[in-house]
Amino acid sequence: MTKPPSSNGLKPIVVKGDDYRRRWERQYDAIRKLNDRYKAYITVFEKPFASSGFLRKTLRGATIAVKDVFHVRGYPTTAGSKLLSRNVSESTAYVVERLVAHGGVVNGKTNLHEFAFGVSNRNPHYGDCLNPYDTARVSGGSSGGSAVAVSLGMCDAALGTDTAGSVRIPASFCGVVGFKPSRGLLSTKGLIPLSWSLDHVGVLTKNVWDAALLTSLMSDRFAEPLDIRPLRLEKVRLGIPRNYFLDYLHEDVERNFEAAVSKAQSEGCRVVEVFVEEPEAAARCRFIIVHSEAAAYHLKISRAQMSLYGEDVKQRIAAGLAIPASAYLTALRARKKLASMFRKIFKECDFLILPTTIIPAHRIEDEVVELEGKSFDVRTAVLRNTELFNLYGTPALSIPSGFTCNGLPTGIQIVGDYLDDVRVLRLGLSLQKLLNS
Amino acid sequence: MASLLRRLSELVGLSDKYTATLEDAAARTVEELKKLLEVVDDDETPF
Repeated sequence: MTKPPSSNGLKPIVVKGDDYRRRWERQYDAIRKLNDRYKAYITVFEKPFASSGFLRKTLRGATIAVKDVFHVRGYPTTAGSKLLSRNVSESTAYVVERLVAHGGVVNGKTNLHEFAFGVSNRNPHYGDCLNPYDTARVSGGSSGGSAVAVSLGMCDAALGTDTAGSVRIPASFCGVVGFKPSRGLLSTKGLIPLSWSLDHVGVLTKNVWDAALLTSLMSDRFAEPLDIRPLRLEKVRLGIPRNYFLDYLHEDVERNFEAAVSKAQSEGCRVVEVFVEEPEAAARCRFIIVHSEAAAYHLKISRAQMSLYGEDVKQRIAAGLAIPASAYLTALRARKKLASMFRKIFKECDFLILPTTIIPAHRIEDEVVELEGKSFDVRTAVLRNTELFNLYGTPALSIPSGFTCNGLPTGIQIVGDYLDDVRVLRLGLSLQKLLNS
Repeated sequence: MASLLRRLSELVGLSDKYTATLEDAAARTVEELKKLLEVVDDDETPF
């Protein structure tokens, strides 16, 4: 087993000699005490789903909570819906199988925005998943249950899916690490989809080292578990977007972002201003693709019982039904062009760095947010800085960047070129260490 | 068009209440489409 660098300053997921039974006990205790209030899990497994001999394998019984869209054989997979409340899985999702084969154990299925089609994690069927720092606020979604479970110590790490920010948004709102790898790096086989061409499997963890290890164990592209070392910051060119992403920021998000960049500069990073072409077109393109694909999926799975769906999801699927094939195909054509235009920025910088979300976790009842004199509906505001990287298929990592004046976590996002995942994680490890120092 | 949207609603079990949502979405899509067409090159393929 590879060992984490002691310099990362955070306890890693796998520790030699750790008493796994005591850890499991602590985590089950946290679930018993807190789950009724926070609604992090939909299903808690009576005993962890494990492979034989897990203690001799890489993950040594590390507990993984999985978003309730991943099938785990013999357990219910609801996708946060009433429609699938009695749906028992007959097989296990590929990435879950990989983790279990490497000694991970699954302790339950986490709450989400119904069918992963939303970013608040308010759920009319299983209860609203609440923010661990302020229960009057959302956890963010759609993988909010996974972020809350990690944040509250109910598991060692968690799996989520990310179609427009659904791993990175709750990670940022709940003060944990969230990583969405490059498109295709992790298999989506065995999960209930939102959008076939934009869904990405991702991880939520306490530190970047864990995110790297889990990603490598789930992917066919790595022959060995990833044992990342921090990236030397001297000469790293950090690209700061000079348009769109920083135009409307909550003041505390802005302050924490600027402080993080300044710390990176003091360690030798070079800051380069970059221009991202056509971000509004990319957001429109993503909207059309997600809504079309989701509507197509629900044409079949709903079995004409959409009356069982929550109101917001019903509205979104209705919107998708109204998109003609010609518009969908135009969006697919535009995506290729937009992704290729975006990737050109990596000639000018090594990584793009930006706040993960332009606001911290909003209040449960909020529908609109005011930023710099402009009104946004909260969904648009929350998605603004994450959604484009699903369209481009590039790796994106969110790490905690500090807290607002009233104690809510904020996050910064590191984006790399397609398949430059390892360097994104290495930079994340360096910056997490720096921001914790 | 309205009839097509109504039939699609029926297919997934959405009530008449959502016909207006579909019509609004169709109108929005046309606006979005106009903007995307400005980005797409003539010889670009979808796949």
